[in-house]
Amino acid sequence: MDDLPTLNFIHQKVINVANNPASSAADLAKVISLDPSLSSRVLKLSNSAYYGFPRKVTSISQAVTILGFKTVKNLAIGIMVYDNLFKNRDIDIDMKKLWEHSINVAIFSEVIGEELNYPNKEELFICGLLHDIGKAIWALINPNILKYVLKVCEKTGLSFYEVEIHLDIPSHQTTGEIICRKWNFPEIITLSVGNHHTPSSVEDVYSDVVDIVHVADLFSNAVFNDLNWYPSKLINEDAWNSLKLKPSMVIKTVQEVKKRFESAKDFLNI
Amino acid sequence: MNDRIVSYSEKLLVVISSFTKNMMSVKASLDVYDALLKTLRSFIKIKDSVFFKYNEGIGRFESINASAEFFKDKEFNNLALWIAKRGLPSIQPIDERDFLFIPLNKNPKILGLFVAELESSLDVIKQEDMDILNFLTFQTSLVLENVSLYEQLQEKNEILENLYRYMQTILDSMDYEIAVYDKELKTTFENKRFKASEKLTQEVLDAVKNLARKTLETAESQILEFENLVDGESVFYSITTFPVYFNFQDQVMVILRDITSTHELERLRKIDEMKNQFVATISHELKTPVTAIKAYSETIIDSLEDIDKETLKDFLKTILDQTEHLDNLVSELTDFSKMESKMFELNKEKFDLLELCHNVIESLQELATSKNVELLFDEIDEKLIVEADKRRIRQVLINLIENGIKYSDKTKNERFVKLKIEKGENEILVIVEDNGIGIPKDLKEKIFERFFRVESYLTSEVSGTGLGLAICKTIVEKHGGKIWVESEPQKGSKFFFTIPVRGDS
Repeated sequence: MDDLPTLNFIHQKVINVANNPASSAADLAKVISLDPSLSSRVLKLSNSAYYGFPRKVTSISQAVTILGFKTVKNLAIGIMVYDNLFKNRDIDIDMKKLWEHSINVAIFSEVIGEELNYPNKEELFICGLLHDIGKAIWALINPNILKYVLKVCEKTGLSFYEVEIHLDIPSHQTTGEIICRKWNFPEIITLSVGNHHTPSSVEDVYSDVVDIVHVADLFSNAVFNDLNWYPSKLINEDAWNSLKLKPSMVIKTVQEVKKRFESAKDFLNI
Repeated sequence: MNDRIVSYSEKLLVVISSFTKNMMSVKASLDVYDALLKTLRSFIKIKDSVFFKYNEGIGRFESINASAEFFKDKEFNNLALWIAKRGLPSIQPIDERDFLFIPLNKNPKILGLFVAELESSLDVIKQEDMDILNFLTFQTSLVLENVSLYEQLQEKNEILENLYRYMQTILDSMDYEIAVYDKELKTTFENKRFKASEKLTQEVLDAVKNLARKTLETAESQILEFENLVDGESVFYSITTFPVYFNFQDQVMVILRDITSTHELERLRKIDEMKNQFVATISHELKTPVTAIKAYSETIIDSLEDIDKETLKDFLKTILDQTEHLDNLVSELTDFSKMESKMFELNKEKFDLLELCHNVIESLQELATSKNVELLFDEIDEKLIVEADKRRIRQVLINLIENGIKYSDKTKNERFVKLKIEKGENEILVIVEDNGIGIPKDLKEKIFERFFRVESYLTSEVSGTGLGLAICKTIVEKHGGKIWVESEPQKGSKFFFTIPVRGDS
């Protein structure tokens, strides 16, 4: 665990600004601008089809006021995580597929939140996007363990998470939570990463975010069948019941997600 | 930014209390925008604000208070739609100025949009401010949704109320009394006429209730014509009921109509028809004896020398018979016209009814014999002194017995007319029974009407003016008695009439 990657100085500063409620749009724009690659990609995503803004966003500070402080800060966090964890192409683990799954869960979380009229919906995308960050950590620091887990899955027919528990190794959700804390990510992200397989264990204000990410993960696996990662198939009953999703809403959600995924291509290659 | 406010939580508290206070006074959807503006001003400096309602039909935001051309621009509308669909507050730089957009939605329905020009520069907008804006967007949308629903409900209520008033006006302006009764026979609805129906007597109301009860029991529509005597005048009502199922309850709608005038009109029309028929009948009736008298008289004058005494006597007897017949007809007509002009008076005297009966039987014996009808008298062993118009009572008896003879059934071998008298405490009942052709059930009441003759329905063999029974009825009723009939076709008839013993009753 000591091998966990660290954020560079600029990225740490971005997180610090993002975590301070008193930061202004200008503060955030300034800190993002310190990393030209980061700021150009934040700008690119702000202008992407996914947001479909009818005019052109020309600066980071504009992006902050137009799209919202949280949206932009979460875009920056997303890009930072991608750069630090998903860019690794050396191993024979399909990181691209994992990233695509992450985007699907992000969109699912966002659409379910909209369908349920969840007030804090700006946070849902990033929570969904980062939920499997733990797997990316393993792929980076100890790909052999990851491959071993996958092999056991194949032999036993158990899900990835179940095998992790059986082998008594730190699960990907625990690992994800550890890296979130180490990188000082907002609590809402940390909790949903750390509990997306065990949503019942979160009981504070963010419990519904965790529920949504949990359900979005299962939906995404069912609808897109996008993982050769041996997903869990059992939905958590408490999470499902507390969301009160009606069948008609589920159908609408799936349709909307498919539509939105088409416009999210920019997120695949950031 | 209000410089006095330092910490985030303190700011949040100020905004929430301001929001709560402002939203408390909201009464209509427009107030929501005002309350939102006031709340925003508690932590952001705002120059000016514009409210928009969303017109779903044309997909455009329509301003409630904006004058600037820009807000009618298509580009603005696209921008506004983007923000509305995203459902998050957004600050847009437009022409060197910064505008705060607050979309008000109820997913997926767009309710409205609030746009405010900010005074503070963009750079000082903090993350916490945008958090608070998010919060306000969410909460204001909820309030606006509720207020809109409430307004829609009120609008619907108003429509319903108007409709109700409209229906009430229609029902009130109708020329009928209309009411609805529940199971306990209490009215749940009354139209204006019914409410104002103090004229309705208890009898009418009882008839209405009875019919309503019957409707409830049978669950079928009922119709009744009801006659009510008010100060000696007949008032006719038509009562129609309908079963109504309302409020999970069986109820009855009652429509009550005063049809006295239509009734009277119908009666007059019938009388007119009868009079026409009467004139035709009476001309024929008068013509027959006159023709006979004329013919016999001419024969006598033409061949006075050739006729023997016996034949002449025969001829003269015929002339006398016909003259008497004519005399009868004329006196019936006279009686009738007296009755019509209400100049009909009784000359009461005390006499023995039994003696009168014997007398009448005697005088009709010849007629009965000629028609092969046996005349019977079931007499009682007692004097029956009554105080009445002897001539008129005689007329009634003759009429009834004569009818019995005239309408005897020729298919029967034994034919009879029987007179019977029963003495009661205060009145005497006279019965004239026969085994004649009888009277159809539906005509029983009609035979006492003026100009009515059963034979115009049954047979034309029997002559008469058709006034006889009508005159009888008038005479009997004038004496304070009653007259009625029991009859069965082909079996015979039984006429009854009563005379009070004491003439002053």
